[in-house]
Amino acid sequence: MSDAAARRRGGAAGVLSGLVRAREFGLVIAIGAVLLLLVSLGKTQVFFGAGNLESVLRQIALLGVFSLGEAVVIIAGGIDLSVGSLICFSGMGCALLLSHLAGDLDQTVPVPAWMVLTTLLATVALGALVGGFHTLLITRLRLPPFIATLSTLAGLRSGAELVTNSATVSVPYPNFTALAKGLTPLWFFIAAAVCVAVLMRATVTGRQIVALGGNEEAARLSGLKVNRLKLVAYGLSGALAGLGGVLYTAYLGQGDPRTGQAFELQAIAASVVGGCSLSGGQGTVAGTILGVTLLQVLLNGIGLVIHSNSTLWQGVVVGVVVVMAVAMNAARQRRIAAA
Amino acid sequence: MTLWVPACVALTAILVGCTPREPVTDTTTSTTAPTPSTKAPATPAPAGKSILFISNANSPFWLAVKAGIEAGAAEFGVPARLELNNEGTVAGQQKLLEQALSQKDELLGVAISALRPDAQGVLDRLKQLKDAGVAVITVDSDCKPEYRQAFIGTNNTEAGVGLGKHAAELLPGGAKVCVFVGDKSAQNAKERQQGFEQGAGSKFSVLETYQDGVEPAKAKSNVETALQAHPDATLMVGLWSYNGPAIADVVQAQGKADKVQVICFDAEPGLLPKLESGQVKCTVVQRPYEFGRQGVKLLKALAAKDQATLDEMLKGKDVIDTGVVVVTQQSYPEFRKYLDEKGLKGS
Repeated sequence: MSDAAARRRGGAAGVLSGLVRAREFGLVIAIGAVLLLLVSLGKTQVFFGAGNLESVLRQIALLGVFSLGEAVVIIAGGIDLSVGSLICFSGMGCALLLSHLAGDLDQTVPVPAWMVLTTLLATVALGALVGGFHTLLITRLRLPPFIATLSTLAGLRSGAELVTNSATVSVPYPNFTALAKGLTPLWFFIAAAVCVAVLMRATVTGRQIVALGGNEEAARLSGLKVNRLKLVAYGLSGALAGLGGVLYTAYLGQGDPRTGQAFELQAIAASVVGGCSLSGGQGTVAGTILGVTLLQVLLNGIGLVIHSNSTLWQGVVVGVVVVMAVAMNAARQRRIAAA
Repeated sequence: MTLWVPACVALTAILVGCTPREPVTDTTTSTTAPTPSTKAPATPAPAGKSILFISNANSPFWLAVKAGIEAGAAEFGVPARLELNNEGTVAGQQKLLEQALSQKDELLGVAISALRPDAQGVLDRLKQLKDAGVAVITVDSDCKPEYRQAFIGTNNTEAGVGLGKHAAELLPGGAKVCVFVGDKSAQNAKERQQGFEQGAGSKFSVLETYQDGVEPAKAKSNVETALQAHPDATLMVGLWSYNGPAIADVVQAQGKADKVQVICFDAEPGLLPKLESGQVKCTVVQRPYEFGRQGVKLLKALAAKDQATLDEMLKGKDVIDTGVVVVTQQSYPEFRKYLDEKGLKGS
């Protein structure tokens, strides 16, 4: 029985049953379990300390912004492997543009706000354009999404290095780096999540993207404008990667061609853990947010608990969590199909 | 939809048009044609042959090496170029060496910064180059000695000892230490950390060594985690060039600069203002410019069997140690002057 069917049974019991059956419920339980484990290991004060909590929320926001875009592409039945390289490329573009606009201004004092705003919007637009380029490759050249975005995974990082001759571009202007200080990235993430949630749940386009991911041929035969929907999905993923590029550049205080390595895998992992199916047609914004949260709470928790080779254990644990999430998702789908 | 093509082209053109405020030199396929030298080359290089440097990874550290390569190319009259191992892996180095093998007739010599001293695939290709008459040396990070003719670099263990001793002066009562590095199994990382522990002495204990896989954002988040996981740590040590600025940024942002001291290796451009302001107490700097310059000179001499130059440079050994400099807030102006003289933005 589907979640919607459970809710239709009516009453508080039905709503509760629906909530428990929702795929996000398992993620909430998992996050709760990790937090309980931290508490039982005596890490309450450290984990919930202001400094650490701020750090965890910032990492959730930084990963979450571009994972949302990846999730939309996966729901649409595609994949975007270029996200990490696009963050690098757009981040370098962001640093170059801001540096160009600021000219010889003192780097230790704030630049005029319009410069920061212009840079932010131009970088997001650059990301969206790259997303549009992916759509062209997929719809006009008929390249599989894997290949189309694989080409830019390699090309964009090299492009970023060529444009800057492999050098970093320093942009430590206080009002620019403030974009990634404190909880500011969280507000960007919340704003992005609200926009994507509204798109996916409250608009026809969003429902059509889900339908496209479920069965592209059926969507085409139903008269949906498949190419336009792909443009929305890949354009959104590119734009959010562009926003990620801005936030990471602000976080580092410089454009750095080494940034974003394997970020696409983190985004895919967060989406899959959050309930997106790699075969398309399934996944939610709430699930993706919870997937990102679970991964970052786990990563942080490992760092706090394991004091030897913690960075290596992080990789192992994330791998196990992804496998478990996919296995549980598959089991759930089998149950639904059998019902 | 067709509007996307011109739009992409236009935006890329705008992006390319925005050059960095301080122009930097090309490191991906650098000079092949020497510029006029102020000193006459001792022996002309065989026509059409050049020297190739292969990096271990891609970092601003190699900008200084490249500046030295360019200076050496001009000074010693031989074309030389640097290929960056952007992958930062042994496989990446192997691929670049295979390209070099396919061009062996056009090469006078190859200098490589070995990621692993015993990576057999790399060692086999170095042997093939040597057997083909191409001079082979290592710079920055050495491999098994029998596979190269000489090594130009720094004794990383001694450099670590230098940093450790400075830490002991800075914190005479000792400290609990967190160490940060891209890959702690890399030879130079192991040697630097061993040297640091040796130089710092028994009053210093390393709580944890964090790896970031050469990812700048991870380098910063590791520091954030370390500050929470180890509130008793009073010293943070950055082993690779980008670790120092990352540590200093986070320590400053979390308002712990009065409690946690930062020391590191190398001097990326981003580290310089932090060194000048005292945010970073000291850094041990190699001489990458000399790796490049002396590398060109040595490879040319090896290829030409110029025994006089070889004797002068190697002094009967197979290692040239270019030494290190400990830079503190006090000695920063002198170091800055050196960088400016060489036209470097970091070292």
